Amino acid sequence: MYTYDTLDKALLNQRVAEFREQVKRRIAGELTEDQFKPLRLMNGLYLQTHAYMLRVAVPYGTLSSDQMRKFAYIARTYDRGYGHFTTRQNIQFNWIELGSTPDILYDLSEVDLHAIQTSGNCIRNVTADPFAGAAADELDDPRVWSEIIRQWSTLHPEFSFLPRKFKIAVTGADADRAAIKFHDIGLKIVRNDAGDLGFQVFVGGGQGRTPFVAPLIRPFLPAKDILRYLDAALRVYNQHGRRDNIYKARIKILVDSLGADQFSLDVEREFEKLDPDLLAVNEKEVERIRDMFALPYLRPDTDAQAGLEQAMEQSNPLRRWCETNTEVHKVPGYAIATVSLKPVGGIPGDATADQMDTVADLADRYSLGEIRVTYTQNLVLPHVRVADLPLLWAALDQISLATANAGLVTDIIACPGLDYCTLANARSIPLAQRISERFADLDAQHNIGPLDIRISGCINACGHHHAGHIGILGVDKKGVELYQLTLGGQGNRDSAIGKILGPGFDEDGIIGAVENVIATYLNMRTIGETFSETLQRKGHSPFKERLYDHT
Amino acid sequence: MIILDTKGQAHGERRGFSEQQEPPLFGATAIVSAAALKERFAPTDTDSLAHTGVSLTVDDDLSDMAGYFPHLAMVELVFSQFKDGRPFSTAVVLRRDFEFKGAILAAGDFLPDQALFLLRAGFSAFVVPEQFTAKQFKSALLAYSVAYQPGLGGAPDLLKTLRDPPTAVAAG
Amino acid sequence: MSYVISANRLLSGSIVFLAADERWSEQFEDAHIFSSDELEDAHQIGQRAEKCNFVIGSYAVELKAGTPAVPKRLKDSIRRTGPTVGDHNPRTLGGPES
Repeated sequence: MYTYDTLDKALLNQRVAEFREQVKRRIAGELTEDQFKPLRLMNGLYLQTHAYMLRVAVPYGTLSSDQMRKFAYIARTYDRGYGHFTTRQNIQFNWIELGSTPDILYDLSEVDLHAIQTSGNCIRNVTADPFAGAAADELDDPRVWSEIIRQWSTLHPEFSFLPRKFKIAVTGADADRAAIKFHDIGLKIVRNDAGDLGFQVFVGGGQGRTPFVAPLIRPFLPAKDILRYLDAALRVYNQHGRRDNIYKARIKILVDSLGADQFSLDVEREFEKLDPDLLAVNEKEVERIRDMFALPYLRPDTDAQAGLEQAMEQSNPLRRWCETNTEVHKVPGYAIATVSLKPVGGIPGDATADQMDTVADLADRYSLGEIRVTYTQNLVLPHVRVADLPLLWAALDQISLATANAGLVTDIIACPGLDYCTLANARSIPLAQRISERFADLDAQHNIGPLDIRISGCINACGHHHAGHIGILGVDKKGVELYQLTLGGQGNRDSAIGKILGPGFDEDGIIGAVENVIATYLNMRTIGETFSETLQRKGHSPFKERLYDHT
Repeated sequence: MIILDTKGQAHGERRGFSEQQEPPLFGATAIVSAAALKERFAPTDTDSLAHTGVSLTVDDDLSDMAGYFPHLAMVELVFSQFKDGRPFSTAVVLRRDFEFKGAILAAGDFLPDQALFLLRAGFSAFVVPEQFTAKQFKSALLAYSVAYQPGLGGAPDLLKTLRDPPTAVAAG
Repeated sequence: MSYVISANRLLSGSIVFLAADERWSEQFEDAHIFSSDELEDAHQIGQRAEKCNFVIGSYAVELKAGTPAVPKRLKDSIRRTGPTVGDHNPRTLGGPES
């Protein structure tokens, strides 16, 4: 993992001191709320419905066990004993005081953590494949490049007051577990015909009011030019992005209005003007960072699977958990284990301080001290010996984190919604709870198969409803919560935006509608066919007929 | 309003937005709008331009004035509001594409908290907004000793600097 | 129509309601109820308190007709009673009372 050197630490300490001073000036009235707000946002501090909320960055979704323990400490000391993992691989603390925030940031800095640029109209913290460095299908570790981009984008003098927020995601695998095409810039690591490492660059994706799947604007960008290209793209956006209408200020609107080809030309023109050496990525620096992410030698163990089979023979719950919550590791005999933060009836993404501490201990014991956060609001232990899976499973089960539902119908993404968020129009968490209770039976879930339900409490789409196989959007209709249903979204390599099925439902109605959609799928599917495949084959009409002709 | 350069030195005052500047400000005895610049001068009036500054709003188009910049004494970029960060890019482009070597002044609505960003984007001085003090700007200029990006202002460029060797590899 | 004025304390962020004598109380029950006619004055009290950096984001909460006074909008009910989900009430978890 990346560890801060003295220069990284110096900058982080200076940042904490700067914010402490800014808070003092705010309290003394030297800064108005209007002036202070963008400054606190760039330090992750929002004013939410009940209190301040602090969003702490989990850089590209990677955490050490010590960092996770620090989260537990923050949750216990400054909050109400829990935290909420978000759809951008971060953690949010919901009950924070302004006065204690500088102390929290200081505590976090002791383990190289921060809240820099987790909000505000700046380059947000970079997200990446949560299986980075462990996945068998990976071309290169996206964290190396994410860290380089983190450094370049941190306190950027020119790009800290952009028209709107700016999100960058990186994947090193074809499967795309980072949903890169729903980002302002999505980077996919590729090799060209000559075998050189580089990126496919997608620009102008996003969800929100006007969802777009990002078009490809550069088929191959040599890796060393990544910062030069980002610099060019950001300058075009800073100069030409709209600032007159907040709903049209994201880069996706600029790309759409210019057309991807023209936007690409504008960026290329700017790219050409830039000194090729000024931002050229230094080979030595890449190696320094790469070394820190390198996996220590792990001895392949080809016999482990047979042992696991034996254990699974004796425990059906273990078998089910291994089926859904483990993935193939690049080293034979190891596995990537998903720690579900979606217990039946629970709040998606929430973890108590005790759970965080235990996961940290389990990471030390079974996963080289490493933990990942996924944008689907789960945790991952990336380097677990297959032989240890039964022990890990049993330990997770003790703290209610062994739900065997990764990727299934109850692995629901939900934003905080009206219960916490000032932007929300409707609640999302209670819907997630009710749906997960409705489909609690694990046999039934495994029978239904892979299915993403995603719920947003407003059109800003933090719950990624556009990209859900089943998407639910909460709106406010004359003071009453109303829920719209969309079908057919995808957040993976084949990113797609779901389509609204018909008129919205009230809270009870939407639960029934989800049940009916799933029942319709089960009636129509052929053997082995997933929900998405059936939907693609049959289209929306059978679902529409079932929902609207009989209700 | 007090004018402070990026080293924290005072440089007289900017009285409202009057055209005449006495004593001269970074070589400019007059500061005119973009429209007045184009109306009164040709890019070839190099002697006059050497004593002239232009004050630009966020909506002014630089390419309109390309021929003037190599000869102007100074350019003032007026922030319409501190949250509108276009002047940061304007300063970068002025230095790079328009070969502007003179002083770039930040004016209008901006915060002391942006002082280092301004310096590192290529600004030379600030017209200190009325509600803030020179002291606040001076202390903001000292807030950071390092930066990750190449830029002006003396901070080491961490993307290029030889960094410490790693202190630890992945735990385990 | 009747209203109460709500805001968040600048320092703690906790939800407060404008009580009599321009005090701010954490208790909804302490809130002074304003009629439509008084609303303009009430807003001004809120804005004065913002200028003095006591509170931020003051706004009028519309109440349902009848007694006891309760907020009309769900968002305001949630502000009054806390999230409708989870067991994260400060009184049960011993968290900060702010």
